[in-house]
Amino acid sequence: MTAEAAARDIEAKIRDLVAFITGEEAAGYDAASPLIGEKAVVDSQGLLEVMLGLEDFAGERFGKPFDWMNDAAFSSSRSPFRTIGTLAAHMAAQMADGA
Amino acid sequence: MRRTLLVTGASRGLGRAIADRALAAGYDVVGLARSEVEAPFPIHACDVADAAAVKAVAAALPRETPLWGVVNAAGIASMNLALMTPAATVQKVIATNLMGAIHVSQAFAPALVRAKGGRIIHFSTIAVPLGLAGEAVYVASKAGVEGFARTFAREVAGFGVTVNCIAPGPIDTDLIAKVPAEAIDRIVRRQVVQRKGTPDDVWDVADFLLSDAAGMISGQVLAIGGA
Repeated sequence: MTAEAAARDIEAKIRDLVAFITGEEAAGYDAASPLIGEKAVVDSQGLLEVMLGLEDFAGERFGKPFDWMNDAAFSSSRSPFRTIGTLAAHMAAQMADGA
Repeated sequence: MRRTLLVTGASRGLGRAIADRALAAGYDVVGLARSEVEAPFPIHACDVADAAAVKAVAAALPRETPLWGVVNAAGIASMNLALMTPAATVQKVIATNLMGAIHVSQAFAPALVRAKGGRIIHFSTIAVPLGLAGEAVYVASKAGVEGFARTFAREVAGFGVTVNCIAPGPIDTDLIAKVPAEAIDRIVRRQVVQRKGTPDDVWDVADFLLSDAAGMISGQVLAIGGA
């Protein structure tokens, strides 16, 4: 699987997780949907739930752990968790490491 | 279903006392200790100061384990004037007491968050509110634990997970074995209840905090003996 394909799968999973948490339609979210900051689509509790969901997904889909500890987690400019798209890319890169 | 408790510092002292009483109360107990010892429950050798080691134990715990509570009793003391405490000792005390509490929380709280409920208990000391001279480094490490627990409690409250501290006064364990009796008496005289506590006193509080009845108690420090 290419990194792009993995990122697409992960992005779809994140949208599903966010939709489950908010009770809205997954189609209402896209790569640009913010996960942190004032306009975040989930609160900090929801963000933790997304990460735990991705941890499960990483094990099931890629057979790898997903490490979501990050010093820049809440940085508006550097956080890999800024948006659904950046989180998907961050996780995809981690899943590709050593693949 | 029997609930599982993870107890750190489970090989001796208060940790062992809590683990034994939890077992008798009907919990399944998993212990962590720096070295494996004989016990009526499984003990994993693990230094809580080592984040990777703690994380590895958490990862090895079967996902279906009904983890309900974490009692972090691992701790070391340094009864010394701050000006006379070597840097290596300062580091060791902070690494075990404060960083250990953080490592244990980071490693095991996700299981409680997933289960949408659980209890975390850290140990502080009555020396924090009393500001006991001769325990500055130890007090600093435990004050940090209290601050961490109060704040972490808010971060996981929405998942039904409570985080509290038990802060005992002097109790006869290895931790204070080398402290002169007169010094212990002076501390006890500053408590509200002027007697030495016992492991049963500590367990009674832990038992309550672990119970379903304590779901509204979080981010608190309960001083045994009163300060």
